[in-house]
Amino acid sequence: MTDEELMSAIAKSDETAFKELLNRYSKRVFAFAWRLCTDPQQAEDLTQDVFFKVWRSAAEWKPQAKLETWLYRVLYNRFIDTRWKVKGTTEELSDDIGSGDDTPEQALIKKSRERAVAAAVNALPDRQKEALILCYYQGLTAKEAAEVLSVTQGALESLLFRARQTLKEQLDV
Amino acid sequence: MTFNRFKNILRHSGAADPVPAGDGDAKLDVLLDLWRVPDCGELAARIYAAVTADERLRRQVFVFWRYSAVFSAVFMIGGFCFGLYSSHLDRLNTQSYFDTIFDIGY
Repeated sequence: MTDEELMSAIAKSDETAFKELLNRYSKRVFAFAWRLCTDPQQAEDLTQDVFFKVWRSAAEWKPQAKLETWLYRVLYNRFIDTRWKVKGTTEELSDDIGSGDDTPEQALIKKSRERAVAAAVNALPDRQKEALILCYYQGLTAKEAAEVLSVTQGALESLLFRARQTLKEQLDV
Repeated sequence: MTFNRFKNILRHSGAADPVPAGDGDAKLDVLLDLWRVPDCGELAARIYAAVTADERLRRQVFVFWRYSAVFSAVFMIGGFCFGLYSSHLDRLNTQSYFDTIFDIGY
């Protein structure tokens, strides 16, 4: 089923189509939420809010917009609304680092590098961080990411450039 | 443990450094890949359960709201009929009482 078919089925309260949509996008939406707030519980709440919105307002989605971009935009707006609650939470990193082939020493090194990267990304100004997450981790094009963040494509490219420059300095690359 | 083995462990067990040599952009990309998202488990199933439970509740509320006008009308008509019947009985009793008191033949 295409995204359009799924959304039109969900607009008619088709629970099977909704389940399919969840299987297709929930992990990606969760990943975006987690990278924005770095708190798994908040990220789950945000993800759930997004899919509640999808269930109730599927008819509002216009096929002109890519579904994934629309989901990120809904999530981002929700995140902006709740940002004051999210600020100040402790950062939790994945314990699942590296493959099972890694020795404890390798795992430790990777973990410390992961912490350094997470700290550097989280220290970026909000807009730069959001641009980086959307383009680098979520794989959106500059145009789609600009749409999510409500900025021009030029402004987004500038944000990305500055984010990468800052990260290179922070991480001694 | 030999000194060489100890040294090897200190040097990442002889494994290749995850950050390759090269230009800054390539190195940065490799570093950024290290920041992984934790596993969200059965998040999709949890969201599905929450949404379907909420949907069922909403439907029940909607059905109740939709038929509440009909229920209200039925209760009002029922109450009116019951009141009418009660007043009718009261009237019969009262009539019977006065009939008895003012029964001249008595």
